[in-house]
Amino acid sequence: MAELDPPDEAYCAAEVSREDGTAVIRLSGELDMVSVENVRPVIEGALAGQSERLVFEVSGLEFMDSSGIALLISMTRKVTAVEVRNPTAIVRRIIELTGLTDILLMVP
Amino acid sequence: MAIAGRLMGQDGSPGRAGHSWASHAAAAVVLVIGLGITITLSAVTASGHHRTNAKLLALETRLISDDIAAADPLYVEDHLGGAASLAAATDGSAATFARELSGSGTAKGAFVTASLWRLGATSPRQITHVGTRPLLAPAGAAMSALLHRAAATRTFAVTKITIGRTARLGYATAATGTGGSFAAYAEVPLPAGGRVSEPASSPVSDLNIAVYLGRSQTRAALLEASAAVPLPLRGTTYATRIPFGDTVLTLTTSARGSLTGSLGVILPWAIGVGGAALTILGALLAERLVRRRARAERVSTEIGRLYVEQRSVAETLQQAILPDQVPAIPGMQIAVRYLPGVSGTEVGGDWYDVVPLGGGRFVFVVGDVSGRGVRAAAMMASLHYASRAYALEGHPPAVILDQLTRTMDIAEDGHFATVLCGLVDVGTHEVALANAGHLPPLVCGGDGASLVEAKPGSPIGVRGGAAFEPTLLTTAARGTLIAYTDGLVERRGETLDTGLKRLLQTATDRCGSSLDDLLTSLVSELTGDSPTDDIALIGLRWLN
Repeated sequence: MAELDPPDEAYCAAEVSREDGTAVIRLSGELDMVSVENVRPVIEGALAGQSERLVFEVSGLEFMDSSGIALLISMTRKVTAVEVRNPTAIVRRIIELTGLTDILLMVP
Repeated sequence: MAIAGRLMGQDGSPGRAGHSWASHAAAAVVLVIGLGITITLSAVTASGHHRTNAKLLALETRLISDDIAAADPLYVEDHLGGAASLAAATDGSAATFARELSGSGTAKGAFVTASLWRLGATSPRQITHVGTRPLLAPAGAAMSALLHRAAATRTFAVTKITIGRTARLGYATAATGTGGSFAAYAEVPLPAGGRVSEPASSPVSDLNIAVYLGRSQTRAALLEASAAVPLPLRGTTYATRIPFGDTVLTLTTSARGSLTGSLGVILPWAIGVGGAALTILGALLAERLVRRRARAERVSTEIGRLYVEQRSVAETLQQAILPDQVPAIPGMQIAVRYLPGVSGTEVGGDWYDVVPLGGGRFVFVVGDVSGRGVRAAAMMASLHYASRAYALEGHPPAVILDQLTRTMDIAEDGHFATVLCGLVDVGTHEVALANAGHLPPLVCGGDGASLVEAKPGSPIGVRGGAAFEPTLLTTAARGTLIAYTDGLVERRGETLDTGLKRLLQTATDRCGSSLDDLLTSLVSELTGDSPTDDIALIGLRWLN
C-alpha cells in the first residue's frame, strides 16, 4: 500500500506577534500543501480583532508552493493589505513569476 | 457511496467467513493451551498435596506407634513381670503378690484382675487372685495355654478374650526362682465394641486409628479403633507393626481429612476453576482481538480500494481532458506530455489544450490549478472548457484570461490557477501570448533557447491584480515553442531561476532533436524518473 503513504511531511512554524496593532506572522520552514493546513488556524486566530494589515515575516521560509501562495492570497480578502516582509530569493521569485507583486506587497 | 456499498458487499462477505474461521481457530488454540496448563498445574498441585498428606500420615503413625511401643509393653513388663519375679523370689508368696499388684495395678491401675500361678509338670495351679473375676476361665485350656506361652518366652504372652460385649486383654508373664517357676496373669479391659473416641484436642484427632492384636486385621483381633469408622480402614491407609510381648500389634491409620489443612484440598480445585475461567476469558479475548484485527484490515483494504477508485475517477476525468493526441494543425507538429507526480496521493490540476480556429490559426493553453485533489481537478476541468469556449468565440488570449477570472474566486473555491494562453498564426509565425501568473514559455531555434518575457498578470481566481498585457513574438523558421507547468522546474531549496536555467540549458542542448525526443529529454533530465509534482508540457514546432 505504498500508494497510501503520506508524502514526506514538510514542517512550517508560525509565530504571531504584534506591531502597533498589526499582526505579524513569522513563517519558517516549508509552506506546502500539507503544512498549510497546520499554519492556517494560527493565522486565522491572529486575524481575530485585527482587520487593517497583515504582515508575513518570511525570512525563514525556505520553500513555498502554490498552496502556500493560495494561503497568502486568500488573506488579502480578509484585510486591506498583506505585506510579505524579508522574502528570500526563492519566495521573491515565486511571487514575481506568479504575477502577484501588486497583491502581496514585498518589503523590501 | 454506491461504490462503497459494492466494495463492502463484495469483499466483506466472503472475507468475514474466513476471518471468523481464523478467530475461532485462535480461540481454540488459546483454549487448548490454557486448559492444558490448568489441568497440569492442578494435577501437580493435587499430587503434591497427596504426597505431603501420605508423608504426614506415615510420620504421625510412626509417632503413635513409637508411643505405644514405648509405653504399653513396658507397663506390662514393669508391673506384671515385676510381680512374677517377686513371686519367684518369695517362693510364690500370695501376700507379696497381692500387695504388689493391688498397690500399683488392680485397684486403681490398668489391671482389673490378676492371679499368681505355679507352673509345674502338670497343668498350672492358681496360688492367689486379686481384683475382679477374670474373663478367661482359670481352669480352662486357654488359660493353661497362655501360661505355657508365657513360660516359653522371655517377655510376656498376650491374648484377647471376648465374652459377649465385654472384651479384655489377658497378659501372662513367667519367672523362675529356686522354688520353681511362677506365672503372673492379669487382664486389662478393652473399650466397649472396640471403639474409642479421641477428644478433638488430641494430636491424633485428625486420624482414624485401628489397633489389632497380631498380624491380621480381623474384627476378632481388633483391640481399639476410632469411633464410627468402617473397618478395615479405607482410602489411603498406613499400617505398621509394633512388637508386643510374644506377638505384635498392627496399627493402621488413615487421614480423616487433609492433614495439611484445607488449603491443600482447595488449591488444586481453585487452580482448576480459576485457570479454566481465565482460559475461557483469554479465548474470548483472542477471538475478539482476531475479529477486530480482521475488521480493521478489511476496513483498511476497503479504504485503500475506495481511495484508489476515487483517484482513478479523478484520473479518468483528467485523462479525458488531457488526451495523448491533440488536434492536428496543418503546418505544425504538436506534442504533449502529462506526468502525475508521485509525492502526492491526490490527483493534480495541471492541463494543456489546443483549440483549432481554422485559417491557419489555433489557440494553445497550459494551466495549473493550485493544490491537488478531486476539487482541484474539477476546477481544472471547468477552466479547460471555459477557456476553450472563449477561444472558439474568437477572443484574443488576454481577453480569454480576463473572462476566466470571472469563473473562479479563491475566496470561494480555495484554489487559484496560473494559465498561459497563446494564439498562433502558423503561416506568419506570429504568437500572441497572455500570462496569468504562469511560468514563461521557452522558444528554441537555430541559435539556442530563450525564455519569452511574457509579463505575468494575476493568476485566475485572484482579484485586483495587474491586467493582462499581450506579448507578441515571432518564432524562427522551424522554431519550437514549449510551455509547461512548474513541476518541470520547481525544486525545494532553490529559486525558480535555478530551475529555469537548467531548463534553458537542456533545451539548448536538445533543440536539434525531434520534438518527441526533446520533450522526453526535458522531462527525464529535469525531473528524473519520478517527478514529485505533476507536470504538463506542450511543444509546438513549425514545420517550415
